[in-house]
Amino acid sequence: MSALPAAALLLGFVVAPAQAHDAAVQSENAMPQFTGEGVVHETMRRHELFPYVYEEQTLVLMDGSRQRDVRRIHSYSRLEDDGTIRALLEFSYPESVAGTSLLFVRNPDETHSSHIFLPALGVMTDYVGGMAGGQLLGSEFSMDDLMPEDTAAFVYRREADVVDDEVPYFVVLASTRPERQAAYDARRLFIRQDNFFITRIDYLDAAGRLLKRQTSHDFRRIGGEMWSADMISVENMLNRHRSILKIDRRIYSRDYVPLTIFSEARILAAASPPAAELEAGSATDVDEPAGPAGYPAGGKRP
Amino acid sequence: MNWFFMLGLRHRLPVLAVLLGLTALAATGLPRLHIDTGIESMIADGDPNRLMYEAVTEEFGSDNQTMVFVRDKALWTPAKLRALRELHLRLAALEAVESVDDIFTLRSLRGGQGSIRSQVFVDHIPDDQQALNQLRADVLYNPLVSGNLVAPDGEALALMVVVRADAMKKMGSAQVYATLQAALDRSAGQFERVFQIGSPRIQTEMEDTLFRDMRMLAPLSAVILLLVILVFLRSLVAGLIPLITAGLSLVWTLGMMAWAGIPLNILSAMLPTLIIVIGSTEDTHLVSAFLHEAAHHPDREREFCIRRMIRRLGVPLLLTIATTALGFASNIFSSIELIRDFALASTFAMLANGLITILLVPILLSLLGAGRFVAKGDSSRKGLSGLILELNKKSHLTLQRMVLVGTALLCAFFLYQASNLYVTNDPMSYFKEDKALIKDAAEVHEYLAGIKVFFITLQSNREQAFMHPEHLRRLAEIQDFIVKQGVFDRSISLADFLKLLNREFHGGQTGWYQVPSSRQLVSQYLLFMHRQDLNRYVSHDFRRATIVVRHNISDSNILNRNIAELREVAQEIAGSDMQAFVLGENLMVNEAAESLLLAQVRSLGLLLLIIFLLMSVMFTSFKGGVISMVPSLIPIILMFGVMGLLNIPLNPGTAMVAVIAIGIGIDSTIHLLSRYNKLSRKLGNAEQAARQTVREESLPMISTSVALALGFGILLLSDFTIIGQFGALSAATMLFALFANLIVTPLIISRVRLVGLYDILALDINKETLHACRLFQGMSGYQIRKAMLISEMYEYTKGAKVIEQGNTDRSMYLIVGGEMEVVHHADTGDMKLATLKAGDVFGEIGFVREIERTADVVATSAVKVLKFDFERLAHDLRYFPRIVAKLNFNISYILGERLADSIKR
Repeated sequence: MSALPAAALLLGFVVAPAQAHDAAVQSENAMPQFTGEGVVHETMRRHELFPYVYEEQTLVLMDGSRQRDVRRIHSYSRLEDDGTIRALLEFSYPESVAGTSLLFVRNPDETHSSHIFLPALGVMTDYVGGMAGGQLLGSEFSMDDLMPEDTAAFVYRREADVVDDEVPYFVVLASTRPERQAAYDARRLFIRQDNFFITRIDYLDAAGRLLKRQTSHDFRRIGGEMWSADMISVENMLNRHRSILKIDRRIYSRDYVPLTIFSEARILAAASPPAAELEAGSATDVDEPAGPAGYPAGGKRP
Repeated sequence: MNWFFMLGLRHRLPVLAVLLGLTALAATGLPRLHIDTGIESMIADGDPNRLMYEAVTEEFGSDNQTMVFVRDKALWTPAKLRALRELHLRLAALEAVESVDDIFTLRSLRGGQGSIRSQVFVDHIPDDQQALNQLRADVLYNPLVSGNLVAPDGEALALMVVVRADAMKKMGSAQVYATLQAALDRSAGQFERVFQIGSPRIQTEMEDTLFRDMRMLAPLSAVILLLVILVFLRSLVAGLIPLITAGLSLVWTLGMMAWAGIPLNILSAMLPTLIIVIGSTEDTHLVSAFLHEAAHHPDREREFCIRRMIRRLGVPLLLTIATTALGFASNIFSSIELIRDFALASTFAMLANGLITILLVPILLSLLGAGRFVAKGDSSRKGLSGLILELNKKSHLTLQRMVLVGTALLCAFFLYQASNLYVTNDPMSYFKEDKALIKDAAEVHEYLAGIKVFFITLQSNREQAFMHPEHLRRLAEIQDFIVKQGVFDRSISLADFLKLLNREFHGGQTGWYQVPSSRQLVSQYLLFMHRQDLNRYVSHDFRRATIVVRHNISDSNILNRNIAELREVAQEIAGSDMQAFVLGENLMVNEAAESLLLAQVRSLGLLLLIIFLLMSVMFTSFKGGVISMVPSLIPIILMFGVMGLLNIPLNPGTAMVAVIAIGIGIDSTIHLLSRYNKLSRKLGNAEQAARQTVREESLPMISTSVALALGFGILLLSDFTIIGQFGALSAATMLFALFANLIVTPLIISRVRLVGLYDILALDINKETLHACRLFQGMSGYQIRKAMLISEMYEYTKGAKVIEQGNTDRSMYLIVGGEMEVVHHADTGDMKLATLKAGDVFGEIGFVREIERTADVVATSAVKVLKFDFERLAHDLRYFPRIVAKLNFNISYILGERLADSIKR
């Protein structure tokens, strides 16, 4: 997840409908001053609001029989002062899909748009799909998973804390607002209390059944209070498919994410073959994580 | 061999103990009995496609999916969709279920002007009508879904449930079915129609029907049997005896199956009926013979009557048991496990029943008796037997010829009809049309593509072959051919997904519904597909692609013909750089139908050959074997003709009728020919013997044939069509056999003299007399009997002239009993030349050459003589040259001695 300055967070507070409310916090919970929404906002403040992030990613798609497909992506994300979020995913491997790009824009008024560019077709096409829990481009991720939290779309409620391996976690239930259509009804977030980092998200249907589980691994301090995970895994509990996103390289720099990167002209121009390069140190495959990091071994389970 | 038949009578308690002990042992195995209604048992062994089929299904998933069919006019409302989603989630949560494919998992691909939408059809359920209408429109717009999994009018849809292979093995089909049904039952009332259809249901219904048949048919058969015996023999004990032997046989058979691991299958539903019906014929013959002896010897004890019964019927009984068992056993060589298992069980059943009959019936008769059969007048003159007798009596040469010619023409007509015969082996065709399962399948087909599936798999050595448009076009070409064939409902492949993407990325223009033009475009389009969307259609490395074809064809003939054509075309289109396989469990089952026909021909041929040889040995002449074939072949020809005429297919049930019918029908032929032979020796006149045979045998033959026909007719009540057809055809064949035995065969045999082997063995001859006889010097007992039984026995009273001086004939005589004298008449007076006694031969000079008799030979007491006719002996013994040579030698010796005596005198 990207990071943004505190001002942007405040801006988010202003533009988001101030309708969030919490259920009562358990008296035994730590830091009772934090409501569910408060925890989430603190998480965002610390880890998701850096305005310019460039990542070189390896995406591994695994089916039920553990067959793998590997794709490499250049990811650009940018948070503007007015709250506009732009994200560009540019495929660089395999060669047959090199140059394929997905551009996503979320506006301050909560509207969004996606556009896909297929080099073989040569035109930019509006794209609907892969949002709100939907499978994005064949993976178990959705676009939302790769973006900062859209707090306006959920109602947050803090649940009882859990402790796993002597590490305490906040547990926050984020219920999808009725007016928002999604492939799931709620998410349960497990957030470390020491650094407010989300290590696990369970996606639930209306009956509380687990639909998919996202876990973060190999997280490390970037600087100050900011942490980031170098590997995110999502497992679909229904079809047993799994997607793993590994961050091979991450750069927080405006120079790597100029606004022009997101223009149609640049996207079209960048897609001329040969577009893929095998860079040294980049993964062509990843190992599955040994176990979901931060998985609460004790305490309340969904 | 007599000791074996007398075993039960002489050692009642030990034999009873052994029988009961074996029964108890068999019964202990019953809990181990298992059922196999699986499709695998209907596939021919050594099917060359099996290995490839297993590899394909392991990679692409089974072709045996269960469909949950839902129909409701108001399907596209929030409430119904929520109920549907609940159903989907309940099914998906089941441990036995691997996945559920439906509108909640399938992908919608819809393009517009400069836009593309790719998402699961229903990832959330809209509340407003406009969104619902759009949803419905999106679903019906998609060519991969509309008409395939969702009805074109949107009023019905399918949830395709993939059951885990290990779950089917571990839980069994009944439990899987029940588990799915429990999930469905919670949706009952929420939709107009909701039901499951697929392999678990088919197998469960087969099991239920099998048990229902066994519970119903066996008692009915027993009742019918009892009634028939009561009508014909008027003895309750006579009716109970076959039921007792059948009951024990059934326990032995089921016990053997349990211990040997032979499963109960749908054909096993017939076993109790077959044992009761077929096994009862021999019991009936025995009891009938016992009653006959009891009626003729009212003052004698039961044991006496039993001994005479055994003497009369012992050997024929063994032969009929053997031939019946052979009939069933000839199916053991079938390549279809279903038939083979049934053949093993039924053969054992017949042999067990035979053994129990031989050992137990004498015991039961000695303990219980069988009542008294009082014939009211000459009962053989009444009813059908009376009609047949009248026909025989009044028939003259012209009528006889007309009957024979008419029969030949009838057979020719039915042979022609038999050319219409076709073969089928589809499991759905085993059920009757009014069965809920069949009706449900028909309802599904009304709205959606058929529930039967097969695959066409193309395999390339080239990595990522099906990323290349040229290979994808081959898939499309094969699918175009499938459409042209016009017999299959739908086919779907990777090419269809890509064509759809191509169309939608071009704003939905139909002209773009074609395979993308470049490999890059294919790869980039596939980014929009999730792996789960493609698992069934292409391998992970894109080297193998599968076309999934759905249909509803139940006729093996039509299916096999079209599949053969499709195989050829698919390989042609695939080219030399790819292999094309057309595979499916359903296909293998239907293709096994071809092996049914071949197995039928083989079994029939083998059985006819064995029976021919058996009968030839029995009657010690090939003529006997050939004649025995006539009453076997006529019913078979008529039966196949009826099948062709009435469009009854050859299936695992009807395929067995011919061999079983021969095995049973030959029993009556054996009784008929055996009786005829005894009578022809006794009466000396073939026509008279034939008529008397019919008179004596018609009643028991009619009663057993009617009992068999009625017993087989009971099978018409089965819920399985193949068993009903088996029953109907078998019943008809029993009646055809009756016609052949009582009308046609007597006409043939009246022109033929046969010698029965058992006649030879049973003949009670005075060995001392015969071995002293010069005519039989140096000949074995068998050779002597053979020669004697070609002769004719005559009895003369005292003073009768057997040979008259001056006559010419080519006969010589052997005195069996009594005395005679040879008298020469000369002008000077009568001269007594010799006195002859038992063992002496006279008239031998006439045997050697045609010459006037030189003296009279007159009986001086009541005499019995065997007359040896030269022409007949030469004809009948031409296959026995050693006997002929010895006879000629001995005759020469006798003549030489006569000459020497004459010279001496």
